[in-house]
Amino acid sequence: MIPLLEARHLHHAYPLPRQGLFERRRRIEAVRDVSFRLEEGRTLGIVGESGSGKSTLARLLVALEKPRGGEVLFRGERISGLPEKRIRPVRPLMQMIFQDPFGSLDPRMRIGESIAEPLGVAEPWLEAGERAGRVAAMLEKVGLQPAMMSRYPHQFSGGQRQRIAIARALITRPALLVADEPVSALDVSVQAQILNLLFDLKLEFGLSLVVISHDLAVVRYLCDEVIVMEGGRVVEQAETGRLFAAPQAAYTRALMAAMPLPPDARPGTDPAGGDISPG
Amino acid sequence: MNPAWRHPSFRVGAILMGLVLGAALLSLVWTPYDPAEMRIMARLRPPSAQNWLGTDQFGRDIASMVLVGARNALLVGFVAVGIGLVFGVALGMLAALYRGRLIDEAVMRALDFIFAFPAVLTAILILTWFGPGLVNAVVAIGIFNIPVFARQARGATLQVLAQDYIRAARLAGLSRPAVMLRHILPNITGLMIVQGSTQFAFAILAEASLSYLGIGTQPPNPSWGRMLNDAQTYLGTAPHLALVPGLAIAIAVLAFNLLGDGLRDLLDPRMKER
Amino acid sequence: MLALRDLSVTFRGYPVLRNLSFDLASGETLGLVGESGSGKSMTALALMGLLPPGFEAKGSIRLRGTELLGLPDKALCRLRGRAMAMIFQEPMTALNPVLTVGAQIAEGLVLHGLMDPRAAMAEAIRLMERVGLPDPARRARSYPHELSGGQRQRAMIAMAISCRPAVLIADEPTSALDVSLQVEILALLREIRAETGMAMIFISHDLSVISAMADRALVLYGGLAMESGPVRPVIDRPAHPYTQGLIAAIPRGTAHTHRLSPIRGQVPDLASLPPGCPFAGRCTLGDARCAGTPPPLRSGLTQIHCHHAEPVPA
Repeated sequence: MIPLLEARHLHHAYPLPRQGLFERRRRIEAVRDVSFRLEEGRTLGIVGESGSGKSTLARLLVALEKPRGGEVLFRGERISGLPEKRIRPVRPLMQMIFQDPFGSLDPRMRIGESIAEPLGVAEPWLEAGERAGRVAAMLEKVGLQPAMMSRYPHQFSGGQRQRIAIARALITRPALLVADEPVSALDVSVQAQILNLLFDLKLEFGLSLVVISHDLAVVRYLCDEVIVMEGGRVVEQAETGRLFAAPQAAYTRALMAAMPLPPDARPGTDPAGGDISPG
Repeated sequence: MNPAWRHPSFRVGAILMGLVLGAALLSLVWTPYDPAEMRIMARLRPPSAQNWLGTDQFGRDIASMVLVGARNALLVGFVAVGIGLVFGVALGMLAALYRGRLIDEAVMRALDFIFAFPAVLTAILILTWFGPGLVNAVVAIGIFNIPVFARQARGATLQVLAQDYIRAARLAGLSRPAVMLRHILPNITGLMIVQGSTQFAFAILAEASLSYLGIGTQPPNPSWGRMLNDAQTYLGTAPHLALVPGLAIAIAVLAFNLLGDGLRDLLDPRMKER
Repeated sequence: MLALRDLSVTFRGYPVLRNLSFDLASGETLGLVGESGSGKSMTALALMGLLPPGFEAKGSIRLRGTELLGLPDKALCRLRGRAMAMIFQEPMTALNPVLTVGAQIAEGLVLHGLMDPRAAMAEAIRLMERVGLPDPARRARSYPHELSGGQRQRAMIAMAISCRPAVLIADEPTSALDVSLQVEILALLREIRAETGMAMIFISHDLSVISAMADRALVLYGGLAMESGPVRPVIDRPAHPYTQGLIAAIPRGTAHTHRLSPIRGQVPDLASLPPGCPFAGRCTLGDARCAGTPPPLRSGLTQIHCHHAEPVPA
């Protein structure tokens, strides 16, 4: 079977700012030789600390940036390195949500317009009434009231904004949703709401998810399989259960040792039934 | 009540602007005297019932000159800022979009080249080439506004480009021009308006300098700037000669700054519906 | 040593902090837990006398018997750094970018007249070694931007402890760091606490960090202490619905088998807090009385402010 998304030997590097007018530009390697396959309906977690290249990888996967090497296949067709015009037909099928709910919505646009924006490109034949209807239905799905459509982003809390961002990402009924640190900017009591919402919507929409996080607990909660990245490289890749039961790479073990335990999960009483070694 | 009216800066700015605009419009149909009419017998008169604001060294009625001058000041301000704004913002956004590439470097270095010359000196060069006159002066001043707006627009655009909502717009499938028009332009407008109000003041003063040198507004067409410069000689004996156009310039500049301030806030959705 | 009694902070008439009281003995660590807008950072700023303009504090803050509220700025300056010091979440914004790290650490010692500049610099280097900065003599001449995030946080700790403060306030000191660094910094703070016997107020939104650092915990929500007491019972057997909700919302296991039960609703903003319990609108037990009347204090194993829940018997 053709996987929904496949990365083959992806490489990416960023130019560093020039030191002087005539100096050569140096590059920093952000992603080195990353390969994986994601089947339809599955959830892949990408974990790593800051600078591990996971956010860069996310942007490569949804063709926001062109890789310097390797390729990304969506349903078997190459989408990397293509001009924007040729990617556009696929855009509605692969969407993304971002970490900072304050930066991901245009402050000068009513949220209804923001949510409808992908629809205007994907299904330009829709009439205004139909479009508003779709936006209203989507707002309800993410747990907001349709009447909020005409408000501006600053009138919402962080958690609500993340719901709005999710609504915008799902309005074109994508097959793939890439979530870059979807809850790390949110308050603890709101994180759980968004995690559950993502999980429910994934089942309802038959989504495949890529969840990027520095938080192992979040990744374990949502994902079927996990990629661990360090310095732009994949150091371990496994089914979630297997990874948490028997981490292979030294770096994975270090991350797990450093992972703060849930406060009531002292050795022997871990309610997850997992066997994390206490840090 | 209109919410805009409740904004104090906007209100005061609008009133002052109305004053200047009113003066300019009035001068089209009526002035107390012909502003060009010289009466040697009535030189350097202080304000009186006949001449509300007095007369200048040629016996011209200052009130009439100020009224007609308002027309020229607004023309200079609007057109010069307009030229700078349109070309500057377009070039600045273009440079930001292709940041670090050849087009960015080419545009910004070319603008640096303009910026490196003293504005008034180059305006003089342009005017000696194309001939003196109000229209050419306005264009020359406008050209000097381009790099100012372009730099600001480039910086502001780069800041907006780094935001995730731009990425989201690209994921929505919006083309580059659509992203520019729908997301970037509205988000840099406030800054550009504020810059515009400052540049308006610069334009009026620059026109004054050029007129002083005899290559701006041509006599007998009155200009606030030339009136101010002419008044220098008589500062000791007839201070009202300097005071009146000075005040007029100050009011027009203040009107624009306050309006700019007010507009910036009013265009920001965060400032309303709180 | 430090005693807060009915500390209230208001901003333009809105309550930011409501009648906060606690005691802190030397060598003891109090963990302040809360989400954004809970008032935990305002507590720290009120203690340091650094409330931003527009904020007003009432009540009493006593440090070794001296009332700090209403003390003139000069006297507070003498206390800051010496009696109380603070470390912040973002060391990059808390360090002065144009001064060397060594100079900034030595500065407090000189300002408080404890040492001459030469001795202070030597002490700064010793402190930098203590907090685990490699090659301290050379690092002392570095500027903040030349250090990594973790090193900057270490430099800030060195700065904070330079005058041996009686109370150290740490406001989310590890939240901006990667997990592996987080563990190291927490360990360092524990070591220093043991060596100096200073008291600590440790502020965090992260219950697992609080459980690792604090002797006692105080859970703030909307400016009101929801629950307080020894850290283990607060976390293991919480009585307040808010504390219970917070703990239930931490992911453990997978969504298929351990579905989370989140607290409903949003963190309210200051202007929309009810006069009664700030949690009333989101609480499973909330009713009209909760929103209208401030909840009473009930004591047991932990102390809670709640109309409905019973504290676990001591």
